[in-house]
Amino acid sequence: MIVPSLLLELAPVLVKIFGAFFVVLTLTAYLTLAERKFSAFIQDRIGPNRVGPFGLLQPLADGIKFIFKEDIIPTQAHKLYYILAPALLLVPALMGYAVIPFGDYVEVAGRLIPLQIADVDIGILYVLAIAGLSVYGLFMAGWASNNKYSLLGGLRSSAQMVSYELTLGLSIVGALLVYGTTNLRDIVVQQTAYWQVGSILIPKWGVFLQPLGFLLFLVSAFAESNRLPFDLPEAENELVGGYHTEYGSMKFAMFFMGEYTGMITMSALLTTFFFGGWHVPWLEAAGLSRNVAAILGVGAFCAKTGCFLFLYIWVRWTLPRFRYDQLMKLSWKGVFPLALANVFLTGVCLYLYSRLM
Amino acid sequence: MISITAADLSGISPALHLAVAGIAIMLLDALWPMRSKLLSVWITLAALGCSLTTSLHRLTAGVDVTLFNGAVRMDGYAHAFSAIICLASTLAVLSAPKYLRLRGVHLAEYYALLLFSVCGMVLFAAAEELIMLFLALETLSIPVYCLVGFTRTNVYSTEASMKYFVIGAFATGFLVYGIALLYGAAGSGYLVDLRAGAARAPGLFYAGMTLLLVGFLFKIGAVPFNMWTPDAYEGAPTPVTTFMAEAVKAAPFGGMIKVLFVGFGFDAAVGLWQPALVVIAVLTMTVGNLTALVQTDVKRMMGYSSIAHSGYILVGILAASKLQSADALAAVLYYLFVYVLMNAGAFGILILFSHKDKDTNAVEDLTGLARERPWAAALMAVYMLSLTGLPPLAGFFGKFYIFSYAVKAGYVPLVIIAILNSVVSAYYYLKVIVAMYFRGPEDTGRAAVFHYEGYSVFLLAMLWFTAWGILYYGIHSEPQLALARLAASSLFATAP
Amino acid sequence: MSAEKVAFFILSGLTLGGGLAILFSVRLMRAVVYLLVSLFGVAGLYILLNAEFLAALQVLIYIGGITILMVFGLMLTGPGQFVNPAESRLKAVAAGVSSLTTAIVLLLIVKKTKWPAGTQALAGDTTAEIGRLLLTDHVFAFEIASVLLLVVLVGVALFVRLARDGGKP
Repeated sequence: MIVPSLLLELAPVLVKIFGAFFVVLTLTAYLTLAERKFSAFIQDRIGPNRVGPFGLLQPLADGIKFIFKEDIIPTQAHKLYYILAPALLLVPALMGYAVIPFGDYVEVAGRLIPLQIADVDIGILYVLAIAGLSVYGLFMAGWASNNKYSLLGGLRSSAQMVSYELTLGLSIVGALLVYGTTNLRDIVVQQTAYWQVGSILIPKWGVFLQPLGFLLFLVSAFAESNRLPFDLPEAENELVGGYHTEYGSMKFAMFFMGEYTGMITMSALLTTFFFGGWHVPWLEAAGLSRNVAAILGVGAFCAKTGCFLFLYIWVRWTLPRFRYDQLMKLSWKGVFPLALANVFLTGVCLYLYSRLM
Repeated sequence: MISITAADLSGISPALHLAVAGIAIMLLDALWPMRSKLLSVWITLAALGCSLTTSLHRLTAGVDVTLFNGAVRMDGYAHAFSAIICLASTLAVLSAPKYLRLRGVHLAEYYALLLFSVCGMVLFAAAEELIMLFLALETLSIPVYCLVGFTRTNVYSTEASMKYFVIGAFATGFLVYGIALLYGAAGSGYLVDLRAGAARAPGLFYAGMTLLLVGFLFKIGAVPFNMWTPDAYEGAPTPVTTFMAEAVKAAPFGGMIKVLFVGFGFDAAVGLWQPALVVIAVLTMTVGNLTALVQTDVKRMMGYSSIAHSGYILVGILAASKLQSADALAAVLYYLFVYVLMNAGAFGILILFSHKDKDTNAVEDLTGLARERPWAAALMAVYMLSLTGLPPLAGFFGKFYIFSYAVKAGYVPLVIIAILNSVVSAYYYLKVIVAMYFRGPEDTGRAAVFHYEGYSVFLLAMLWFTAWGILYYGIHSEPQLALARLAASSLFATAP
Repeated sequence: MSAEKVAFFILSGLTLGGGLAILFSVRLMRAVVYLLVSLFGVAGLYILLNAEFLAALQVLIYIGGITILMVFGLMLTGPGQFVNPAESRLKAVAAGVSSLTTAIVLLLIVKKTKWPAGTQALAGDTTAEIGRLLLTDHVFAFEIASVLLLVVLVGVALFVRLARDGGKP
């Protein structure tokens, strides 16, 4: 009797875990295609269009190609760390997704199931902590390759990640002050409220409450996922390929998967924190049933996340790369003081608000 | 819910002045770098003066307030320590500007770091809770690690800084471990609650007490935890050595005495720390003095001498704990006050004659000083004789009070050892006087030229004040002792 | 054996094993990796004690911050073995004996102690409770910690500046 009830308990969790894995990994694969398609569009080219209709099977072909390539380990490399590094990058990127709510509750067989793998109180702290771990993958790759370019890439990445992790955390302190919780589900629920201006209802999304915080978080998120204009760890015209210079075949692919998964996590976090997560504005008035609304919510969440992913790609093919000192200056002399100012301003506003109301 | 009240801020103002002045100096240096150097000297002196007068005023007025939900208590004891430390720091600051300017490292950061350190010292004697105690100790130590390495091109300075930092961090590790165990035993971090842990979880309590004591003994440089002292003293820039030898020396005693008396108490079961301290005191005095005998470098010698003096102060603490009398503890406070004066003066003379490229550190460097610069030599002689403990100088009375209370407490063998040690110490203090007065270039084979390289009005004021203090406060020790008694009795009011 | 107990043994095994491995590893890089393992074990123990906030901070600060600094040092100094030429066998034996004694004494003490604190879990949200305590009972310690951090910042900036300018600011 115990086993079936345990199964019943575990089943939705397992389904959610596998679902999330499947979606994220598939999305990762297709993001590479999207990247190439968009870049082609921006550069007025056609892009991949040979494999499958519109090149839709291209990621599959890429994957097969990577798997069948010869796996070379440089003789001078530190073998254990060399092999460990790509996994250390990919695993944290995937783990971060565990606490992000991608939808409201659905009702299955009379039970309410939250559309989130784990609803933990420290949600945002968990994501930040996990995001900080991916730096070990980068540095270990750089160090274990025993190659000057790789080492420089690893060194750059550590410095960059540590600097921007700080601003990443600090830029949401304002938002945390407003929400008063670190639980991501609570944060989304709070954003489903409205302001009434005349007869118009404006959703209480974080971006309206914390415009500066949002901008700073966006910048830090770009830097944290090592994307242009902050992709100095792998700056190919200075460092050949940075930390992954010596990598080939599936290990090389894993670095890419890590990068794209990180992008998805950051986009999902941006959505959750500043754009109301699964919330579809003004949908409450339609009076839909719980399950339909929840599924629509999941759709909204995916759409919002997709917008940020598009932004990532758009920025990559539009903006040039920063110089390294500019990057550091931006972090310590730009984003960091602004984030502090944001915290201060938010505090003052909240105090005045609590006094006036 | 308001957690900081105006009363809290006003009560803590001796520490607050210092922290605010430190921040003001940092801002000033960023906004107006051209003029910030000299201005920061004045800001530092003003802040220290404010704290000093506030503390003295409140000490005499008998102010006794518990602040910040019991984290800090500004009673007579804390105010007395605050006053001693502010005085010591003022003397150290007065010796610094010219020395640093000559070496091209006259930076505003020096004064900011020093002020933050003093802020930590004031809080260390006022802390009522283990977390506060730890934070205050770190706030007082870390700036000193930086100050020791302030002349960064000097290899010795960097080495000293590194050594001091590593050993200091190690000591802090002991302290934190001790704090954790004590908290586990007592279930509370407040000093007054610690004793309850002895009955509840004796093993844990004693282990915690041992580790905490080890941490403290590291900070005061007691044997066998003294190895950092001579190197740090020798390598640091001389004004920093001055600061270390007086303020950084006196401050740890503030927290230590409080933890021993208020936290651990004197009961037979809890008083296990007394026999341990007796052994440590004997070792500290003896090893410090014997090692000082063979030193040829005045700074290094003063380092070992400071270890020996820690031993004398431990004797005083033991006497006070045995007698449980405020008078005996007052003798310790008076000793600290006098010790500050003597050390500041001695290092001041070294600074006075230190060249830009070479510090005057060796005993040999002072050969024949009396012929060329009789006044400076006379001052140095006063400091050295006072350190030896010759009447009628203040150093004598400091030792006299401590030893007489120790005899009263029944520590006769300890006092005999201490007096023997004082006799031994006379040898190396007098060595300096012999070099100044009874030797000349003909003995060393090279002509020493004494220029007032490090002269400044600040330093002059410092030297005269300390010399006057040693001559005056020795004979007229009663007002100082009365203040110290006031302070000590406020501590005993909370002790069991 | 309950699942919690199994988790406890695994996590404390990671913590202690990592610590021991640091002691016995001669390669610095390995030592850092073992340190990571040990720190992760501690974070896990915090979660087991329902102190999720502490666990997150442990990962965020110690693993994501402080150890990264060590890694920095490692990368700047290059790969190599940590060999101390002055280290003698006698010293190693003395260190081993003294630390073993300390460990045994502490173990015995911990075993004998009747712990005053209860073993029940904290009620409610630990993050909020820690925040409340920091701004009420420990508000002064909180403020002094900021002074302490400022000091560290100033000190480090000073050393870097002096190093860059060759001691002449």
